[in-house]
Amino acid sequence: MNPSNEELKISMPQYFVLQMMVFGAISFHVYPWLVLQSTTQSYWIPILIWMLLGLLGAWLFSRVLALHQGKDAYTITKRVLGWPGVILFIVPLLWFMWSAMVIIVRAHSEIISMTILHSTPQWFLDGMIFIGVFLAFGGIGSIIRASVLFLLVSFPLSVGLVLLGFGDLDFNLGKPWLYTNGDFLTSPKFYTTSFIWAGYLYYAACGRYAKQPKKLWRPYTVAALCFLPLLAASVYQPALTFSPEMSRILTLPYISKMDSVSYYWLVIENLTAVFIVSSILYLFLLLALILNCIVTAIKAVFPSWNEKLLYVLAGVTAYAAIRLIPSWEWVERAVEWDTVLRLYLMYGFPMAVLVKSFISNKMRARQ
Amino acid sequence: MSRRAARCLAILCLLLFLPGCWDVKDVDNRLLETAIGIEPADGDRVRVWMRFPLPQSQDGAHKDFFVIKQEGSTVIEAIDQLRLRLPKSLDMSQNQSIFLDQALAKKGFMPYLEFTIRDRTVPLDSLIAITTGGMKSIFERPNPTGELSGIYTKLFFERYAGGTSQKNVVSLWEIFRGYYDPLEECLVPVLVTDSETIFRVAGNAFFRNDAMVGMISPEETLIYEIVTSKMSPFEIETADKMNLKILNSSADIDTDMNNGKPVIRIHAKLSMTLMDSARGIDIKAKHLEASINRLIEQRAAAVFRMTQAQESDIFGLGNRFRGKVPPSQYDRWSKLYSKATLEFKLDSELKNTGLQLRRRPFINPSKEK
Amino acid sequence: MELSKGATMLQHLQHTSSEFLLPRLQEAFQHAADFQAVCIGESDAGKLYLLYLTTLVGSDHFIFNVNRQPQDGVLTTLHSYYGTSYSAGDFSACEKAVCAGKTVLCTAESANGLILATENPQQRGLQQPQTENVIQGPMYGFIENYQTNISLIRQRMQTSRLKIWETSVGDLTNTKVGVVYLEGVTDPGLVQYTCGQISAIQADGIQESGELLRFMNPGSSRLFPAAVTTERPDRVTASLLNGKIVVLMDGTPFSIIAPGSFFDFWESPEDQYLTPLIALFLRWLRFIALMINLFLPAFYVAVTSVNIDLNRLEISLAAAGSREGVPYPVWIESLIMLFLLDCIVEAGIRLPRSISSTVTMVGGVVLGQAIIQANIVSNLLVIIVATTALTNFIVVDYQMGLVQRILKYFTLAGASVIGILGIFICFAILVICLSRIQSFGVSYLTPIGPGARIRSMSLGLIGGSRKFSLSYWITFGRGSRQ
Repeated sequence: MNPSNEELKISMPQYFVLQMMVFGAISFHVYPWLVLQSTTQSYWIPILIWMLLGLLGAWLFSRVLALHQGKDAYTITKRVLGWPGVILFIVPLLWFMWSAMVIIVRAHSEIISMTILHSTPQWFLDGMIFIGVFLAFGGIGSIIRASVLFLLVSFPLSVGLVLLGFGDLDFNLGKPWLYTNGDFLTSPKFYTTSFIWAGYLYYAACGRYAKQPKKLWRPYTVAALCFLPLLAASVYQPALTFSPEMSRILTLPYISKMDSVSYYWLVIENLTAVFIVSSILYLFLLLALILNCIVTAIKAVFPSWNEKLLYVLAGVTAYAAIRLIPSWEWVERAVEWDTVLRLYLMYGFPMAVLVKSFISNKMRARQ
Repeated sequence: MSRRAARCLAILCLLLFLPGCWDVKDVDNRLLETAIGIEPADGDRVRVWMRFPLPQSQDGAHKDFFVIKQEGSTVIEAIDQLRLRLPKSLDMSQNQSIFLDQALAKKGFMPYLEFTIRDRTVPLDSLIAITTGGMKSIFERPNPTGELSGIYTKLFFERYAGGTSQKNVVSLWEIFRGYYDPLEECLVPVLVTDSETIFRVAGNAFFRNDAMVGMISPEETLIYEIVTSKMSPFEIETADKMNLKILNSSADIDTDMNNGKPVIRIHAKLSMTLMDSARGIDIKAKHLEASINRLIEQRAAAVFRMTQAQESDIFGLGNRFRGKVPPSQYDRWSKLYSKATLEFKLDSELKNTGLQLRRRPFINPSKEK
Repeated sequence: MELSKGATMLQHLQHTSSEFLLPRLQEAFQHAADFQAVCIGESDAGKLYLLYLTTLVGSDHFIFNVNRQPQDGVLTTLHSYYGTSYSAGDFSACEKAVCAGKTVLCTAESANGLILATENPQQRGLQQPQTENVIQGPMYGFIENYQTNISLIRQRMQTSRLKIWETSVGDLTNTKVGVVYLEGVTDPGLVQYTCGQISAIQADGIQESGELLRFMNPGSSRLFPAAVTTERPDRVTASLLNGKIVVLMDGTPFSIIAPGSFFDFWESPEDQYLTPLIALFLRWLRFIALMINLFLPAFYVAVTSVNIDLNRLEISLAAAGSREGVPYPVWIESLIMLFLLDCIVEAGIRLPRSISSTVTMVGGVVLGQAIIQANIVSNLLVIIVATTALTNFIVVDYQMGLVQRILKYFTLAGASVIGILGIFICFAILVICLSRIQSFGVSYLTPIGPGARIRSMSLGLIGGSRKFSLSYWITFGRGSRQ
C-alpha cells in the first residue's frame, strides 16, 4: 500500500498542474520587458510564434520519453547515445537547470526588494531556495500534491490581477494590431523569450511516471493555452496603459502596471504585494521541480550517491551562486546568454536522440 | 535518517527568519505622508512641503494634521533633509496627491518628479495637480469639510466623490506616459486657492514634453472629455440661458495621412437632457441642439488652435497613427500635429426635456391675500 | 438428556499428570484479593472448581451458589450454564479469560479449563456525544464498551459485507481492538496495511484511540492528527460507506476513521443531513473561519508593521491611533494577547461548566477591558484576537482545532519578520509539510495528488453532487488507482 516510487503514477492533469506552476514562476517578470523590447509592431506575433515552437519542442521531447516507457530522459539518453549522450545532454542540461534556478531565485529576490521589502537584505531573501529544497525532499509525489494546492491559491490570484488590470487601457496604444515587419527576428531579445516555453524540459525527470509518455505534450499544450491570455496580458496591459515607449524603459512593466491600478472598491491598495505573494508560491514549486530534475540527473550518472545530500548540495551551491550575482542587469543578461544553450536543449537534443534511435532501429531491421 | 534530515532542514528554514526584522516599523512609529508639494525656492533650489494626517487619539485635543517644509537643491535632497527633522520614520507609501508649482511645471516637471517612479516610494496612482499662488495656503489650512488631510484632494478629483467632467483626474503614471509617449501629451489640472474651500480648479495645463506650455479653461476641458470619451454624465452647459445635462458622449475619430499631413476627422455625439429652461421660453429641440453644436464646435476649434500652436497633442490623437506612421517618425509627431487638419463635427440630441411642467408655471398665490 | 449435555461439556477437559491448571492459576493470582476458586461439587473426573475474579463476573451467573441444594448433582448445577457459550482453553487462555471477567471451570487435575462467558463489564448508558454535537441527526454516541459500539454500527449497517477483524493490543492491558470495514468497498490493500500496522504494535498498554493512532502511524507528523477520531456512529457508518476503515478500541468512545485526510477535518457529520446549498454554505463558512483563524493575527501584524501600504490610509491611521501609548512592538503585543487568550480557553475547558462561564467572563470581558485601559495592547488587537478565538471554535474537529491554535503562532512569526510575504511563506511551508504526510499509507491531502485514497471524492468545500464537486474537476490523482 505504501506507494514506493516504482508504482507511482502521475496523471495527465497532474502534469498539467506542474506545467502551470512552471509557467507561473517564469513568465511575469522579465518576459514582458523582453517582448516589448523585441519588436515595435504587434506583440502577439512573437508571443505566438514561440508558443508554437514550444509546442513543437514539447512534442519532440515527449517522443523521446516514449522511446523507453518508465525511464527518465537521462536513462534514455544513456541507452540511445551512450556516454557521449551523457556529456552532450546531461551535462548541459544540468548546467541549464542549475543556472535557471539561480537566475529565477535571484530575479524574485531582486523584485521583492525592489517592491515590498526595501531594506531586507538579499542574502535573507535568497534563502527562499531552501524552502524549495525542503519541498524537493519529499519526492515527486509530495511536489505534485503541494503544486495542486499552490495552484489553487496562486492561479486565481494571477487571474484576478489580470482582470483588475483591464482598467485604464487605451487600445489605440496597441496599434498596429495586425502588422509586423519581422523586426523581432533580428532582435536577440526575441530568441531570449524562448525561456518561458522551455518548461517541458522539466519533464525530463518526472516524465517516467506517466502512463503514456507519448502524450506528455498534451498537458504542456493545455497549460500553455491556459497561460497564453495571462502572458498576453502581462505584455499588453503595460503597453496599453503606459504606452509602449514608456513600458520599454520600465524594468518590470507588469509590476508597474499593477502599481497603477486603483479602484475605489478594491480593499487591497497594493496589488504588487499580492502579485509577489502569488509568484512566490509558483517559485517554490519550480525550485523543487528543478532540484528534482538535477538530482535525478546526477543519480542517473552516479546511482550510488546519497539523494538527500545531493539536494542539500544543489541548494547550497545555488545559494552561493545567487550571492555572487551582482545586479538585476546581470540577471537580464544571463537570461540572454542562456539562449543558445536553451535552444540546443529544447530542439537539438531531442532531435539527436530521435534520429539516432530511428537509425539504429533501421539498422536492426536490416539485420 | 531522511526524516531527521528533513526536520533539520525545516528548522534551518525557520532559523533563517530569526536574525532580524529589517522592514519592520510599527505603524505608530511612522509618519504617513499624504500630500507632497514642490515649489521653487531661491536660486535653483526647491522647497518641498509635506502634510501628515495625525491619528485620532482618545483625548480629542490633538491637531488634525502636521505640515513641514524643507528646502533642498533637489527634491530627494530636501526629503533627506526632512528625515533629519522628523521624530518618526517618513513613510511615503500612502501618498495621495502631489502638487507641483506652476513655475516648475513651466520649466519641465521631469527633474522634480523622476524620483517617484525610480524609487517606487510614492504610489503610481497618486493624483497630480499644478498649483499657482504658492503652497502655503494649500498645506497649512485645515480642511474645511473635515476629511482627513490627503484624502481631501483625492475626493476632490475622483469620480466616486466630488469629481466632475471639468476636473480632469491625472494620476502620476499618466503624466509619465504623456512624457515618454511621443504621440501624446498630458493635461494636468491647475489649482488656485479658494477662500472657502482649499482650492478650486482654474483650468488644465497642457504640456510639450515635460514643460507646461499653456492652459485651457474648465469649459474648454469639456472638449477634451468629449474627444477622449472620458465624459461622465454630469455636466451643466449653458446655452441660450438654458442649462443642459450631458448624459453621455461618444466620439468617432477617423484618421488618415494625406501627403505626409495627418487628417483627423472627429465626429462626436452628445445626448442631453434639459435641466432648467429659462422661465417659460418655449423649448424647440432643433433650435437648442443647433445652438449647442455651434457653441461646442467653436470652442473645439479654439482648443485645437491653441494646442496645435504649442505642438501639444493632449488628445492622444497621435496614438491613432501608430502603424500609419513608421516608428522612426514618432518623435516628429508634435510637428505633424501642429500641421494637422482637424475637423470637429458635433451631433447633439436632446433626449428629453426632463420632468417638464406641462403648463406654464405660475406663482402660487400667497396665503395672506 | 440434559444431564448428558453437561457431561459432554466436561468432556472437553483434558487430564494430565503433570501440569495442572488449578494450582497454576491459583499461583498466578496469588495476591489478588478478588480472585476466587470455588469448589462446586464432584463429578466422575474429580472435584469441579470455578475460578473467577469477583469484581468482574456478573452476579446473576452465580445464583446456583446460593440456592444450591446439596442433593442436586453437579451436572444439574452445570445445567444453569446451558445456553451460554463456552470454550476450552489452556493455561494462558484461561488466565486471559479470568482477567477479562470470565469464569474458568476445571477439575483439580485437568490441564485445561472451560471458559464460561460470565463477564459483566462496567459501562454507562448511551448518551449524546460530548465533542461532536449536531442539531439535527442521531443523538447517541459511542461509549467505552467495545461490544456495544460494534452493535451500534451493526444496527446501522445491516449487511453481511460489514467485516470485523479483531485483535488485542498491549502486552499487559490486552485491549481489544477491532478493524471494521465494508467488503467490496474498502480497498483491500488498505485493510491489509492497517491490520499489519496494528499487529506490529509493541507496547505495554494503550489507553485511548489517539494513542493507538500514533502507534499505527509511527512516521507521521508530530503536529497533525493522522486521522479523524469520532464518537458518532452515523459518522462512522458514513465513512465506511465511503470506503474508509474504522478502528474501534475497547475502553474509549472514540473510534478512528482511517485514512485521514486534511480535508476530512472540515466536514461535520451534519453536512449530509442538510440541503446541499446550506451544507455548501456551512463548509465555506468553516473554511473561511479556518483561514481567518490561521492568518488574521498574522495579517494584523503584517499590515501594521511591515506592509503598511496594503490597506487604506484611514485604516492605517486608525491602527496608529489605537496603538498610541502602547509601549511594545506589534508582534509582542499580539503574542501577549494570543497567549492570554489561549490561557482563557484552556481554563474554560478544564473547569466544571458552571465555573467555566465565570472564567470566560472574567478573562474575556474584564481582562480585555482592563488591558486596553492599561495601554498594554491596542483596541484593534482585542477585536482581532476575539475574532481569532471565535473562529477557532468553528473548527469541527477538536484535534484540528488544537493544531490551529499552534499554527497561528507560526504564521504570526512569519508575518512579524517579513510581513505579508512571511505569511505566505509560512503557508507554503505548511502545505509542504502536509504534502509529505502519509496517513495509513495514503496521501494526507487526499483527494489531491498521487497516492490519494481510492474512492475519495470531496475536497470538503464543495460537497453534495459529484458533478458539482470541486474535486470532480481536480481529481488529479488516484495515481495509484487499481
